[in-house]
Amino acid sequence: MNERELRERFREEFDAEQPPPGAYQAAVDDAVGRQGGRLPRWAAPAAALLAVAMVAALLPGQRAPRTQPATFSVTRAGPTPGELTARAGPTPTALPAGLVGTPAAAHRESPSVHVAALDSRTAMASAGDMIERTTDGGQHWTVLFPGVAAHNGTVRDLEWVTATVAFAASSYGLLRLDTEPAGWSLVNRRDDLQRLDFLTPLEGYVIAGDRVLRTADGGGTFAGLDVGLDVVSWIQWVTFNQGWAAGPRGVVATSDGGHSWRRQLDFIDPPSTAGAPGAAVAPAWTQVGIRDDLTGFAYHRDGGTGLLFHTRDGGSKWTPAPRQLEGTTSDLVVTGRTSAELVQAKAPGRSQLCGTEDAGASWHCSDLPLGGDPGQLAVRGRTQWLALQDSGAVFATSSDGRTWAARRRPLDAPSD
Amino acid sequence: MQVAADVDTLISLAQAGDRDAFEEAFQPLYDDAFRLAIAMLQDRVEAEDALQEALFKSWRKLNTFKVGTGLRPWFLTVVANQCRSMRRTRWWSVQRLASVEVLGAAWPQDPERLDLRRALRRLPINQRLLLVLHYYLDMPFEEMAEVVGGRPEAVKSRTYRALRKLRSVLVGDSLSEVVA
Repeated sequence: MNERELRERFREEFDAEQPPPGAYQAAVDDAVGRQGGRLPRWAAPAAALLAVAMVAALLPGQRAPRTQPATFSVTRAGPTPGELTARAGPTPTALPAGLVGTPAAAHRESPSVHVAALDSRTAMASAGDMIERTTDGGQHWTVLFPGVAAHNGTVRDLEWVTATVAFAASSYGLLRLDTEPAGWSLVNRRDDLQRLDFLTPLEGYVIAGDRVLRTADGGGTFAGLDVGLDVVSWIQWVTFNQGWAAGPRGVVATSDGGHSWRRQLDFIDPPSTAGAPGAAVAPAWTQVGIRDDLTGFAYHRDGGTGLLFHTRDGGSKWTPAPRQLEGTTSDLVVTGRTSAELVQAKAPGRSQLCGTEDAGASWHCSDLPLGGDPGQLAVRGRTQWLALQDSGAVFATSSDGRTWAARRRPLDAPSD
Repeated sequence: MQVAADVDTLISLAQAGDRDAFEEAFQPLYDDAFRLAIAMLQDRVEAEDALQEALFKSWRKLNTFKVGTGLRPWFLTVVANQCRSMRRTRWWSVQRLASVEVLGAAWPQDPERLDLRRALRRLPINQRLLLVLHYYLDMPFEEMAEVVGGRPEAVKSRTYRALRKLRSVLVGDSLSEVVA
């Protein structure tokens, strides 16, 4: 084959390859209209708003429930950055309007604890179905949502969307929480919501059961979104177009606002049921923690083993960490391009705080001077917010990870 | 000259945010870019993705284009870089993944057509790019140098090296008609 023949061969081979009809027009539409292109004037404030939402979206939610009610008390270990006092507790037994007869309240769901931090001083925390807020680093707390009489439900996920608007996925449905003025509303009675990822107070995504739903009206109505996974446990968007979804069987990503999804990771092992007969084994599940459009983590848990993956190129390539994480852990909190933290169970009722700076190649752990099983961790700058579960809820905050200010309270009844 | 001047005008308008000018300027390049992407990635779906992303990057970075220089090599550079990026980084890199055969899924099954494609597939993607640019898109070495980087003489040398590699692959596939 000489060069002339090679040219002919190329033409025979590729001349017939035509882009599909309309592809160019669609590509131009996408190029010009996509976020990140030439932005209109309102884009900067919108981006700032979105950044707040995205930061909040990095805060994972805890799924494994286990607890019994206990008495309220205050405890702390080591030098205390600030004395924590009991929350102001209005409406301890009143039945909030709008929740009368909520079907989910008819059966008891094991309460869990959550924390979502807006910054180093402002955070929300939930224990069971009650949600409180602090604006002074945890010294004082006010009730945002008092829960329902009998407290048979629980919050499953908390998320700040703006500095004054938050959402909670609860067994009662989707709650919108406002801080200025303070108030709450049940915007949807759908009781299978597990996780939230709102881009704005109107637009967002939720995991309902094991499916992804999308809303454009603040959660009033939802429409299904097929991401190509049978079971979805996590969803996170970094822009209106770019997002990731994860489930026990893999990780998928979209760059066109959810119209198409591309598989990035595939876990061939089915959800594990390994372990002693009758032993409670947490179902396999996967989360992602995307830092920006290029770097992030995927954390796959199956039984008592956690596998960590890191990407530097937006998920086209995921590199597994050489070490597995053993035992129960909280969700992973991404703190930098290659850094992340989580809480790991060291023994029943004892946990340790672990962090990596090298994408999971090595971990440094320190014992927590607080009793409780891993609940949820949130990190804002140098401030760590922690929710643990033992005989009640333990909320703690620390600026250095060695000393913590902590507060305990029961899970099933508001009290002062 | 008239065409070049028109393209320059369109680009100037596009740089000022004129969407229609952008669309008109790049449309003549799209088919060639698509074929380049197919030859490099060997998958239609991936090629469409690469083109979409390349157009997005072109729109976003159009201000870096110097009016009066060649739009074609500039755009094909963006496309080639996108294809290299996808080929370098995409696909599942984790051992626990299912073993998946990606390449070839979208190929035609005509055995005569498979020979060249299969041979191309065995070449490094940068050599694929050189061969496609020169022997299919008929790009001179000077223009190729703008796309792949380096001096034209070096590009020429690399292209011939790629051609030799292609021939050796074809010989290895027992294609007796391959001659120097």
